[in-house]
Amino acid sequence: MNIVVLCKQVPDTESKIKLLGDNSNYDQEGIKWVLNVYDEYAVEEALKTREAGKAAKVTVLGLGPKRCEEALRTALAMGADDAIHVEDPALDGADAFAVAKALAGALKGVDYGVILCGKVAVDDDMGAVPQMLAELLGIAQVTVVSKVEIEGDTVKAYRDVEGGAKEIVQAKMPVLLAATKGLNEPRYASLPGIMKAKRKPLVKKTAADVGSSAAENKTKVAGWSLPAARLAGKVFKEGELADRVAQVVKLLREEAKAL
Amino acid sequence: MYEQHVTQSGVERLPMWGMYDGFWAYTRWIIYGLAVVAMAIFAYGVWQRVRAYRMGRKAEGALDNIGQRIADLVRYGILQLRVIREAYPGVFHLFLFWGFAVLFFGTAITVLDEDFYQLLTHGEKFIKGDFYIGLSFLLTTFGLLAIIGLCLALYRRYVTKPDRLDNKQEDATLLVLILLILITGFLTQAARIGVVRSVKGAAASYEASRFVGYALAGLFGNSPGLHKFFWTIHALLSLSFIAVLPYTKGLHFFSTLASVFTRNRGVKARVPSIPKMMERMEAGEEVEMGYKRIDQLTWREILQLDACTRCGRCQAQCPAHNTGKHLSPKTFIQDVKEHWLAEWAKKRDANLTEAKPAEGAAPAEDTGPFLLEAEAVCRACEGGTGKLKSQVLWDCTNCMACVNICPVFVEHVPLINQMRRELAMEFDDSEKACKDFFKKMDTNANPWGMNPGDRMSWTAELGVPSVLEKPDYEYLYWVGCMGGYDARAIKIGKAFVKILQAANVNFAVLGELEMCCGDSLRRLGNEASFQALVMMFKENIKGCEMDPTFAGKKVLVTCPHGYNTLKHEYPEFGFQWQVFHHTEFILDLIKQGKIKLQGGNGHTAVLHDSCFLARYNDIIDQPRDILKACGLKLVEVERSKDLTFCCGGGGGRAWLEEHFDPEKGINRINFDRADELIKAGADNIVSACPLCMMMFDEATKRNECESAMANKRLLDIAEIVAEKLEAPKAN
Repeated sequence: MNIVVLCKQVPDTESKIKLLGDNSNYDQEGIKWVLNVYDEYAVEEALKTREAGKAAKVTVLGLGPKRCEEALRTALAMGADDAIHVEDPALDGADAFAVAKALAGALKGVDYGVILCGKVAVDDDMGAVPQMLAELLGIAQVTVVSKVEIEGDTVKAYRDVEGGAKEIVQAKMPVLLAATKGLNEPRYASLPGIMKAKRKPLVKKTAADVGSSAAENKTKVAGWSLPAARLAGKVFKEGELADRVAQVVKLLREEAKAL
Repeated sequence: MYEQHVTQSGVERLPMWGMYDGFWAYTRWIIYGLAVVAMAIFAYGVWQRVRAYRMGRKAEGALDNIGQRIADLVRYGILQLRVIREAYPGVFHLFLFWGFAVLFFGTAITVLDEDFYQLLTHGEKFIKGDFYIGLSFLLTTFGLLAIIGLCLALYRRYVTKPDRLDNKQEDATLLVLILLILITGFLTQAARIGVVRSVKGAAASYEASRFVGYALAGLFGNSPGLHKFFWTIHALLSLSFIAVLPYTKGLHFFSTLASVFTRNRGVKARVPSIPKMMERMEAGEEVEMGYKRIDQLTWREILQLDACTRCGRCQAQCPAHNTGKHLSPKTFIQDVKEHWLAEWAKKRDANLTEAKPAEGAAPAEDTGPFLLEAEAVCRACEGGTGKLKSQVLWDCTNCMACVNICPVFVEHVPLINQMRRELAMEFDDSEKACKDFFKKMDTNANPWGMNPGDRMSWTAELGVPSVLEKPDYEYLYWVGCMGGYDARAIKIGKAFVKILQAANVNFAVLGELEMCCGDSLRRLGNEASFQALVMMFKENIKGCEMDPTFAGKKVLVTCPHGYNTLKHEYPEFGFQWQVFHHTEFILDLIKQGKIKLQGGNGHTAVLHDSCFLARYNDIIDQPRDILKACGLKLVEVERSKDLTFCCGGGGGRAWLEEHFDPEKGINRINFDRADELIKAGADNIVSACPLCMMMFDEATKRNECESAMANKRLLDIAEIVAEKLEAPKAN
């Protein structure tokens, strides 16, 4: 059984997001790019499954411009065997559907039992590609997975449900699993590991190869806006303690609407 | 014949007693034969040991500066300056060492006299008259001192039993063997004097110079048989002792001196480098990450393992061990030593029984046997592992207390750092917090992974120019990650800026160009990320059309970790700046009268010496002088100056989780130290390191410290000085 892991490169969450002049997108200059943290869980789970002898090969699949190679190299350095990179300017601005279709196209002819991916990418927080991809491939899907058990061709996945409950879902392979926090603790890809990973095979595919492009988009981003600047904190120093507490509670309720 | 000889020789060569006098004429030849056998066994043992050391690699510079090394041998080998830092064991060891040295010297010149001079001159001797009396007195005195020393040693080891000693058979064997030799020596002396006295009566009073034997002589009377018996036992024991030296703990007579002689005389503060690691890897070269096999150590490092006598001084100083962690520097060294000896035995046996692998054949490098017993290592290892647990290595704060106190210059910390590299870069055997730290450093070049653009957002508010705005700056203030992001450390930075501005210093900061110095990265074993960081910093500086060597610039650092790293580690990458810690610089400003301080108000201060200042860089007096100049009365804690106790934040530990389980006696290092500082009772607890500050800030905010801290302040030395600044006079 082979495993495919979907890997997306996203801005580091500490990056300062600035918008382009026409609000059509955020400015990609000066951004530190990293492998999406939920995808790290997916890679780790795939490697653990392989190390447990339950999978033969781990392939990572990513889509995006040239720089996305770094994210794939990170996954290879963690221990994945090979990588597929869908890279084509025709895919710039592709929405969730176009991406899912491209990924489905890239998986044609690839042998897999399990597709692992993050439940969401921390850049646009869309969380739609895993579900669309599973539908396009016509395979089972389990999302928000925090524990996986594999027995033969049966996958038992534990889903995190609001309130701390777990929903236990069982499916026959092939199956897509979308990982959430708590699944595992991803290993660290050291720089020497990343450099050695340059020797691992990375296959490039174009929009034509995968049969999708931004022209397939079903949605259009109308514009972007930034959150209001954070206000400075307030310190309540004056008056009796009880009065100050009352003041804080009042503001939390009325202004911050946190209570 | 015996008595006749005594009479004759007594008359003719008074006062003299020959070693073989009274024995069968051929006794000396039997002794010669046995001596040759003993020395051959000794020589074989030493040769085997040297071969075992040579399992290690070349040790650069271990034999340079011979003059300095001879001076070291005198200081630390003969005068034992490091051994006597601790009174009780120091004194008895000095008795033993000097007792032995003098007896060896006495025996050597007796051999010269009896076995060479006498044979060559057909019966003449040069040990006679006053020389004989003087020598007898000297040997007897030092023999007695050695016995006293032995008794003190036995008492300590088997009665008071300090924690840091673990008793093995070899300890008892050595002590008892030496004791027997000394006792039989004195018994021989006593029995002989008994014989001489009964023959010569009062004429034998010259033997009183051998006052121990003289006093005991009465016990034996005139019994030549007893003398011969003791003499024989003493001779056989002594020769056996020589023979077994290299096979027992007696080996330390030589291994310790060799370790002192070949000690690392370089900068003690430096982490061993992997030269041009990134460039070589870019070029496709296989680069070793650190130490995972014993044969990657240098011969000097292996020699140091063998020089360790398990005295436990390191363990008694170690902050990790003292708070109940897994690491004991002594056990660490002993575990590596055990692995070395086992591997050496295997290698030696293999050499004897199997054909050597063909020249140029690739060694089975990646299959072990490995030093470390870590989960990831075991997976990769077919050849078995040593018993070193990875947590032992992670527990180290790199405080250098062990290296600083070791009487024979064993270097635990660099060895730990070398092995950490395997865990960090090769086997990824580190805790989650460590992996997160590495990721944050790799992405954003600071320990919290915060946006590099937010670094030192406070400096501009105070009107501090950046190097781009003021390219003709004289001093570069390296603010550091703590000073750049940490709320508490920012206050220290602001205080220091206030001082610099009061003294009209021409300075600038790097602003967003500054990156982490990489101290924690390097000491946690991530050499690759450290070197990548330094190279990226250089590139960024070049990108701004500045000189990346910083030649002629002076750097001021408020963090001892940054100070040490920029000063001692960066020159390897071409940096030519001069680096000063703020304590050095502030003291200069005070001395030159560039800042004026208000007088004292009777307050007291206790100083916490940062390891990276006091032990790494010998900065001990400067902070004290500053506090005195501020009119504060100094209170000293027991663990201070170069014997300071770590805050727990060094070696990258500030970013890792620390095991805490008071019920099992496992304390946090910062709690342990903060309690000691609080107990000193001073009004101000002063540190000169933002990492120490962070550790103590946390420790002193515990509920149990609330009342004790109510009338105390925890301050950086810069904050103390900034408070005392006199307002500049208007001119």
